[in-house]
Amino acid sequence: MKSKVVVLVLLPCAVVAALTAAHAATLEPQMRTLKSLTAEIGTWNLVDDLNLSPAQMQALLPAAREVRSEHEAIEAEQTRAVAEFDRAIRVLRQELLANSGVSDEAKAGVARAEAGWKELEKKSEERAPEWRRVVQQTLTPEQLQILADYRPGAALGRARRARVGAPGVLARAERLLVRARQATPEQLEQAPQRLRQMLPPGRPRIPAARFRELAGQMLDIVMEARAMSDADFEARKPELAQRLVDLLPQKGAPGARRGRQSTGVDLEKKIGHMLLTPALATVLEAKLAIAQPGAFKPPICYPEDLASLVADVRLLNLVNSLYLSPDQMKALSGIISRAEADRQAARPQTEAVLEDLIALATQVRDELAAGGVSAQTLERVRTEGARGVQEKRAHETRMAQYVAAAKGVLNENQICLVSEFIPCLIPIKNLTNPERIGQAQNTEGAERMLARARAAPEDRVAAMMPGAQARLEALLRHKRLPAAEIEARLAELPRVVADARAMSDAEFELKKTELVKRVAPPEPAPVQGAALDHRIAEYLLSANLLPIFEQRIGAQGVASR
Amino acid sequence: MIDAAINRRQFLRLTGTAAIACAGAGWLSQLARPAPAAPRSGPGWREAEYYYKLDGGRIQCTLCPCSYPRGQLDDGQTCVCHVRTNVAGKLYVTNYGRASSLHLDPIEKNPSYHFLPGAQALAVSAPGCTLGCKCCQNWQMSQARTDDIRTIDAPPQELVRRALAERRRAITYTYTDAAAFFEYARDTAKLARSRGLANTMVTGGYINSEPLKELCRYMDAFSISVKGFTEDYYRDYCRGQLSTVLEAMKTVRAQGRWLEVVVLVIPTLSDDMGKIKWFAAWVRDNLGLDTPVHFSRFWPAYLLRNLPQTPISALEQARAIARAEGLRFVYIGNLPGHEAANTYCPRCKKALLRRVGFRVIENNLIGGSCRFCGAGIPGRWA
Repeated sequence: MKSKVVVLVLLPCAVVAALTAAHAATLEPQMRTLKSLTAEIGTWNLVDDLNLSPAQMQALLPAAREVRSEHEAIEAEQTRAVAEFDRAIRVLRQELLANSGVSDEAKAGVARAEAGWKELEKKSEERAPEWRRVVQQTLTPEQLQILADYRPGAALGRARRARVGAPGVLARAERLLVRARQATPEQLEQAPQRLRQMLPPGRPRIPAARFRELAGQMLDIVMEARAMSDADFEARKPELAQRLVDLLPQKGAPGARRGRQSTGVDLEKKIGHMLLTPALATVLEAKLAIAQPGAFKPPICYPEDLASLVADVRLLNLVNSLYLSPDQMKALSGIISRAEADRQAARPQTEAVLEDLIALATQVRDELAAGGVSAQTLERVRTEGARGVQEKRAHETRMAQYVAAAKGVLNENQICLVSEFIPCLIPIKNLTNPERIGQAQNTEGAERMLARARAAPEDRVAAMMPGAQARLEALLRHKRLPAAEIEARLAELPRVVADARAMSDAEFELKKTELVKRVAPPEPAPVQGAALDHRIAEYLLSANLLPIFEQRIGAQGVASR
Repeated sequence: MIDAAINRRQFLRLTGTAAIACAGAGWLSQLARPAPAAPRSGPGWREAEYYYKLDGGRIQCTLCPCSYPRGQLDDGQTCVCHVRTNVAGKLYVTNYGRASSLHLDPIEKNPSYHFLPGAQALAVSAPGCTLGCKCCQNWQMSQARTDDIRTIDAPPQELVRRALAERRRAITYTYTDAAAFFEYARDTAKLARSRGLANTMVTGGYINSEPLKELCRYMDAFSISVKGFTEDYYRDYCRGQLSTVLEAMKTVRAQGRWLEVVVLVIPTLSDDMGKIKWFAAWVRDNLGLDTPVHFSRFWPAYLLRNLPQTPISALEQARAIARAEGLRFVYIGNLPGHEAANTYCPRCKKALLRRVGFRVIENNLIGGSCRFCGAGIPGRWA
């Protein structure tokens, strides 16, 4: 079990760390290989955790093979869908490059291509209920419970839970106090976020209002520490740290919200995403010692060149909404060039880390297939994991100076726009609300639906409700809302329709947006602090901006002459 | 199966005869059908103000200097504003209490940058417009008859009740031109004022002096939109006259109401920097240095979809020219996030009101004065 914990925790950590570091260095092929290997290792580990009997494996094998062959069949169709999507995205990208609005043709092209893509995804889900049923009939209730409780990060939680309130947490609290004493007032403003990070994973979640209260109390302790002399602080450090840790709510304490419980929806999702992967057949075949196991293929995702086009379109949407002046573009170009040179210099190192990780992941996968991971491999996983994390930190440190410089170029209004940006393909041009220009979401479609529901007779509304709920559920799932929130919003929908029907015309007109917001997925909150820096690094330090800026600066120069 | 083929001449003769016969039958059926009775009442109908009767059942509308044959309407005729109809020698408006849209909007959307910054208003519009701009962003409402579009029953009492219930500080008459729903806007504004609400009006300024003066009694602020700088332009692209709009701005200023001027910069049509310079000088000389001027970006719409968006450089150039002419508060609109949407102190040049889109994200005014240097900033701030 211990070995599994280490593999489950450290390898994905190393992969994530290396991927983040490598993202800007454009090492897509390696990243892709590593991702698929990690996914396969995940399936291996889950199957091990479930401790399937041979009979169960035999029972699951036909479904697993169908999943694999269906996946292969869809992959063939994927090529056609990708070609269409690729064409549409290129047209859109051209128009966004010209920055003169998006034509209806381009919008229609992307919509068509997206519909084709969704159709493909839908097709891949067609037989999923049947396969899920097989899994649910084959596994015992205990195994299903393991699956329901299973989370990729769960092993990390289990490992740390024992340490809650232990010296480790106290030591972190002490370190935080030392840093807080040396912090500038600006840094201190970020203290609440840092405090939240300090909360150990084993603690129950804290509601926002309670957290603000806690953060205030914690800040009082920090201010007390700052007011002390060095000698006093050294003497009272353990006591202050203990007071900080004591503020964390205990399990079951009043005001503490319980963690999310697994629901039926979650279990279905986990069966689909974690167990019924295309790798399952390979794993089962290996475990059942069936000769010539089928090859593992990664799950359906955007091919990398298309993914980079999509990323490019999102980048253009952001840049076009910032209205950068030629001077700003020139300044940013200089910063991006320096950042890119730095990234290129670090590339061999990142590449080496990735190559090592790929080799290691392959070895882990092979050893898992052969029966278990050896102690030496586990040790290597530990060291490589640490190396990956180190590489990520070095990358972030390198980028921090460029992020700060880029922030200095932008004015406060533009930084506000970056923090509120919601990535999207087609920006919504909505002049009645220009705040939404360049943004992904709006509520107009849903408002129109509500207006139709108001006009329809009672029996028609009742007949429309299941369809509306299905569409809403699909949207909420797409937005990856937790199952409990999806259920709450679905239950709210009939109430929203009833309220809309009961309102006068004028009242509905004024409150329709509010009504829609009761069921719609919440808009992402603006990013701040480290997340904002990360966004600036991802978008505004992208080397893809260099030719765009060059062309725009040139065009403006010609225009002004 | 046709037994014998016909030649081209016979074919043409046959089809020609058939076409004439069809046309004749249509004409005869028109003659036979009784003339449709003009609707004389309905939701939103009410006798209009500002008109007088002429001979033969004709009437003369005096709300605006209408381009319809000198504002004279025969019995049954509806004016080009789409909402004023002559029925048996009486002029009716068809949009009274019929809102074409109702929103809860920030006041910055007008744009009103020097009037209750950050305040939320109840925004209302009704069908019709005294102008017929080819660049209209809301043409579905402004260039439509009341019966042609979905409207909401919202009499003045209901609007005021809603604004108070929603804890709004003002009612804004916007989206279409409030001049076209003069009676509705005036009655609502009168009632709103008696209940402590402010009134702001977004208009193209195409309205005669007398009705405008009456509106000024109840309105607190105006945003008047200028679409171009020549009479030819107004005639060809707006179905109006520039002189009336300029006069309207002077009237509002003379009546002591807060005024902000919006200039729509349309590529190739109203982006001549020489004319912008002339207009900035006109504002300075006739309305004063402190009149806020907004250069607004054009988005292709309605009948001008063939033109591109206004280049940002053109807007920035227009702003620079207006500032060089001495105007102290010049903004760029329809460019969310642009620095020229902020209000800067004319003395210390620091940002007083920082805006992103329609939101005020920073307010450095204290009692209408700059918190950095204490300079007084014109406007109504509380």
